[in-house]
Amino acid sequence: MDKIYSTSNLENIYDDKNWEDILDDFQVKINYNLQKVHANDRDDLEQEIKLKIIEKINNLLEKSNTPGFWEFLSEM
Amino acid sequence: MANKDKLQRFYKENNSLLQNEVIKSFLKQAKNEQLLAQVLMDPSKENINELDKEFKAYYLKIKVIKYISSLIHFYTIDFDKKNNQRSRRFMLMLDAPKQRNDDDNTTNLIDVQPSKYTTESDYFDSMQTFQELIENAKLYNAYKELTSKQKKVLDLIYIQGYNTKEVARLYKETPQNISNIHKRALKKIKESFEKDRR
Repeated sequence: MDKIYSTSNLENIYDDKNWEDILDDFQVKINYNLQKVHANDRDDLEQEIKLKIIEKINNLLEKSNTPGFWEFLSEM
Repeated sequence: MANKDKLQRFYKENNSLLQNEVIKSFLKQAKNEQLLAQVLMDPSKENINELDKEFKAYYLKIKVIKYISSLIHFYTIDFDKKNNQRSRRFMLMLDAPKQRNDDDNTTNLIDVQPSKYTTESDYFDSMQTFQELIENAKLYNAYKELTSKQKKVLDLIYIQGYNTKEVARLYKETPQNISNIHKRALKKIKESFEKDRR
């Protein structure tokens, strides 16, 4: 998770849609959750989660209306 | 001097707003704090845009991370539920009653199938073990070092797919005990790998 914050040259990681890097960032969390299901189902689940992540990030980026700094301040 | 005053005034006036966690962590990075100072001293369009752009990227990242981590969490739960439901609805053929129309008949199909093994011990002796399956030399040596009980438990759990409770019933021991044996066996294998690396 740290990677996203710390490396400035990955700034555009989401713009470039560098999926391998994006999925890498969530691998730890995925692995942790895989422990909750039966060993036989883990590969299936991992694949489905990754597909879902790509789908959702695409979705988020498409219709994202992230506020700018001043907008954010005035909203509070 | 006047600039410094401006900065201090801004921080004072917006103190409560700046306590927001997102803003706080954003400004923690020296680069971003500098940008803000630049805007306050020289509120040109360029500077304002620069700060906005930086903040947008930062906030989007946070949003995505938050969204995706809860997605992973809830998707796992969903997936597990779906699987359980499916295995309940589509039971294995052998577990179904022998005759469909006969309500009184409680014999399951599996109970009337002859086994090719005549005794229980025949069946367990014919089981595959890791001894035959492991191809990695290091792992093989580590496996050989285990006690026979540990080997047996690992075989049952990983090759036969038994869970701890079922193994415990087989040995007439408590599940906790089996779980301990299982854990200790894995630890022993791990340790022998670590010893090799050194």
